[in-house]
Amino acid sequence: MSSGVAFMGVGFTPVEREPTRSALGYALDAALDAIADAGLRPGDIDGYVGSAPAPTPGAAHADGADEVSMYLMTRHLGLTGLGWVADVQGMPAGMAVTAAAAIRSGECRYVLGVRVMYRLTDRRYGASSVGAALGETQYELPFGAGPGGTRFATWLRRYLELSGAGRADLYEVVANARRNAALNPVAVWRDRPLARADYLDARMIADPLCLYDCDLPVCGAGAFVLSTARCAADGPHRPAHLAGWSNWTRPPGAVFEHSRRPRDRIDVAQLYDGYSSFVYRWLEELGWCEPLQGWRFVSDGRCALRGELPVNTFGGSLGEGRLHGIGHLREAVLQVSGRAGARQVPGARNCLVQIGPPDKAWSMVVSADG
Amino acid sequence: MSPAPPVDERPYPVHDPDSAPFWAATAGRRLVVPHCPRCVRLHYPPAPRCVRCLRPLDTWQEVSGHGTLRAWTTVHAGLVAGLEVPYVVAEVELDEQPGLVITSNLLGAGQPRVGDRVELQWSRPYPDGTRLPLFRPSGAPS
Repeated sequence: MSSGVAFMGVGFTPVEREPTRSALGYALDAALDAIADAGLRPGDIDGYVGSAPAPTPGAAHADGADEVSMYLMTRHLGLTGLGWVADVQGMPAGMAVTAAAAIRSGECRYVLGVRVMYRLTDRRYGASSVGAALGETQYELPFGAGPGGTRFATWLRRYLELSGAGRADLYEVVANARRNAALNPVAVWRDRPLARADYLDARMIADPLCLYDCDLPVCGAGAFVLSTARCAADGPHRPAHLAGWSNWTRPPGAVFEHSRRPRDRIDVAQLYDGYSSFVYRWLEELGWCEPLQGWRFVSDGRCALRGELPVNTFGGSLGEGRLHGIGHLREAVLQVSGRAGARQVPGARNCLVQIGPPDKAWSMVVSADG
Repeated sequence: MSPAPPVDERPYPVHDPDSAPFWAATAGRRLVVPHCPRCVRLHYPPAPRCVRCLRPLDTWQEVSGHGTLRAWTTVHAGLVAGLEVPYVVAEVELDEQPGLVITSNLLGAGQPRVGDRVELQWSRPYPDGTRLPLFRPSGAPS
């Protein structure tokens, strides 16, 4: 039993602190890289799914500046005659699931998905300068809540008090990310291991989250081509099947049922780490650990590249940069296709991908088996 | 009596059809939240309908402003214009109902702990009279 869809190719740009091209330039480069990786040409693409929002308080939300819409992408790639075009609100796993629906409907054969993130250098990336707080923000911004991950900082404060873990334990999440990033040629932190003392001395953003617990604003893009499992079998690489998926409206563990992959068949996991503390939460909510025990799992080295459940083998958002999950998705494809190079987990057949903060999370299993 | 904290520079909460009764009450130093008579539940933040039974939320109930510190963080980064760092963002569970949590600020606490008792302290008003419901440790001098 299979969902019938598979990733044929993935593409990526370097992940950079300072932009070397425009947002559109990154997005097009990643798209062309993914199309070539799939052994296709742009004219073969008959569906597109993007996710445009610049998810940061200081964003300009300007198409072509810090966001790239499906309108810009189709125009600049010269895509015509598409059966399905969508920009989704959600994370890259939501893009993939939407692309899968377009393929399973029979409307499309080769769907391109692209996600770009961009740091405008004329503004403070995470800072809000609004004088009027509207909608949901009226209950947050007047109190200084929201930017800087305050709601995740409060969660972590409570977690540390209840579990007995400390920042020295949290360091192990970040250190694992940096170690794996060293094996990822595009990672922004690839040459920067982080010493425990430097972590413990780092400036606080929202206590107990310090600078290094937050993913770094970057410029970069990633892309994928999703197709039918049958077409993917004729592609240049071992297909990475999208075995199944779930989202925040279901219990976290539902992804195992919907992908027909029990948790004990998962060989490697890419767990969204926009903030380091998310890793604890996913390990617990997905059932690898009892509540308030995730920190022990990490501190005992069980998430290391050669541990029993390698986590964020590409460095995660904390090591590669803040690409909002497209890196997690790409890594899952590379791992189960046997293309992850120096960071390949031997024999990896099923990779769990969890993308998004806990209340907006998508998950899926990418598999070497159809 | 220590001065109530100013709000002039903070982002202004724009009242909308869901929140207007909530913010209007703050001008009179009353903390009110929507109440679903059918489910006998209070809600925060304000919303058009009860998330349980989906009936319109059009009745409001005043709450005491006494609660328990559920979680907190000291913000150092200064990412919100108009607030001086450091300040404490607090999630306060109000006494009226388990799980009824309001995100606010905790004032004047040395080293807060999860579970500390807290009580309401109103901010000074914005020019239109709107005040922010802030919190301080219970029994602290106002």
